[in-house]
Amino acid sequence: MNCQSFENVVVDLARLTPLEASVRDAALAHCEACDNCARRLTEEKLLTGGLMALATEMKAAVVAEQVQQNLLSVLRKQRLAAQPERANPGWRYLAVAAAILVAVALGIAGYKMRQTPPVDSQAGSLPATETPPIKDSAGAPTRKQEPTPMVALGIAGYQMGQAAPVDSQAGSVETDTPVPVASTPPVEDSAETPPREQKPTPVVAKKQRLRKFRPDASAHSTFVSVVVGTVTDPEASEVVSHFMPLGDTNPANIQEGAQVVRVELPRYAMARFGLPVNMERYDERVKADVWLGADGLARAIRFVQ
Amino acid sequence: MELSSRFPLITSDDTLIGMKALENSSDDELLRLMRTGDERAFVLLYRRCHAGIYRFVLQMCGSPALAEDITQDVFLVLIRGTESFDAARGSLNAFLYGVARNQMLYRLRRERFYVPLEIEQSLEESANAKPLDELTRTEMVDAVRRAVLSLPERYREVVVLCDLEELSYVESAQILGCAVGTVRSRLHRARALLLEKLQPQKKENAAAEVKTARCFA
Repeated sequence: MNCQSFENVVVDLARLTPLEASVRDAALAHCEACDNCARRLTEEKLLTGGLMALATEMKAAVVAEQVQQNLLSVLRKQRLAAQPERANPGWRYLAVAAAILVAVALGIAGYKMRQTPPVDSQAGSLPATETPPIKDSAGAPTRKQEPTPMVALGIAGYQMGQAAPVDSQAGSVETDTPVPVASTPPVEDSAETPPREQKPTPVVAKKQRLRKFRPDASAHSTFVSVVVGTVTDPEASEVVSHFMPLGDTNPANIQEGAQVVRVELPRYAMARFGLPVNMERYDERVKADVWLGADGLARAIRFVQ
Repeated sequence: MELSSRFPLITSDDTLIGMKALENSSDDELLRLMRTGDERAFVLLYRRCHAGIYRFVLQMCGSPALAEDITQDVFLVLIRGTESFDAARGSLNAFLYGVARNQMLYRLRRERFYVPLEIEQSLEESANAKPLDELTRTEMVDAVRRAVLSLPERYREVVVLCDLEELSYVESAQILGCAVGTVRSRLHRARALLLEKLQPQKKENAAAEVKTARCFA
């Protein structure tokens, strides 16, 4: 090791910084051979001793207690300053107001949901045993209903029929009934006359309109009760008419999955299809089977006696 | 009781028990608790860090009052969170040293017109009186302190951190925001300057010998 190399390590050597053993030995060997470097190392060691003495003396230096008390008081003030924001009455009032608003909104939503249950979910959740049996005019059940899957539309119509009487005038079937009979123009001459070309109105839309009706209808109002069930072959005791097409129905539109829903209509609805109506029994109801396509639209209707 | 005497605001037994439970917590954990308003965490953090910071500032500026002010400011920064601490960039201690250094440099630059003259005079008087190896301990310490204070800032801070606070080169480099090699070279240069300041008489004698030699030559 030469003097230049020794100068590079003399500080670490004097400060007792860990060095490689070989470097340290070489530096110490060089010190023995070189007086200048030995003196340089001695000076550095003296300086290190002086600095260590200064450091030892400085360790006794402490911060005044007032400093930490000041800091703690600042910390407390900061904490207290943060607390009133949480306990601020204004926030409390806002929270109460928000809670009231949320409660009102939930109430309205719940009321609406109760009045207008979602069709799809109802269809899936309503047990088949809730389906009332189809009754004849005397009120006796005519046949047992099988727990077949229900048409969502029919279930909604069933609920409407139970809860929503129609308070419209006679002859306004097209807005009162949940089936698209309404969209079918009256047949004047015969049942064979094809109805006017018109697209079948979605039954769902009519049901939504029915929901607006109130149960406290006057005595003159006509109830349209829709009894839902998948109708199998009519029994021999029933006299049925032919299915009369509604709208632009043709057999090709009746796809797999179509269902027949039995409803009750005011008797005067028969007049719209050109069927004879006994005016003495004008206010009585008559049963009808509505043929619903797979898309939920009414395709045809027949009257049942 | 010892804690109560050192920290008179901490008095209840529950608080003492809580402080003992927190003593093994890391600095980062204490800092997190402190920011939630936990006084015990703050007190422990203060106990761990304040002495080194105070000494660092005191050795850098030589004024106990200024050192106290800066130490207080450093912990105020910590309380108020005005400067964000990132644990990924270094230890909390290094962060606090860095804040103290910035505060101190700002103050020293602001008050640079009022500080150094008296120190330089006293240092020269003291150093001229006796060489380093003949000084008594008290005088030596005083001379070294004055010599350190007379160093330029860039050299003074490495001497204070590495030699007086006994931090490693790496920690010092983190605090100073420079490379480890820079710290080493600055320390080398700073010690050479200290030796020059502490041995002016020897230097003068050496110069006289050279002068005489030249005359005779």
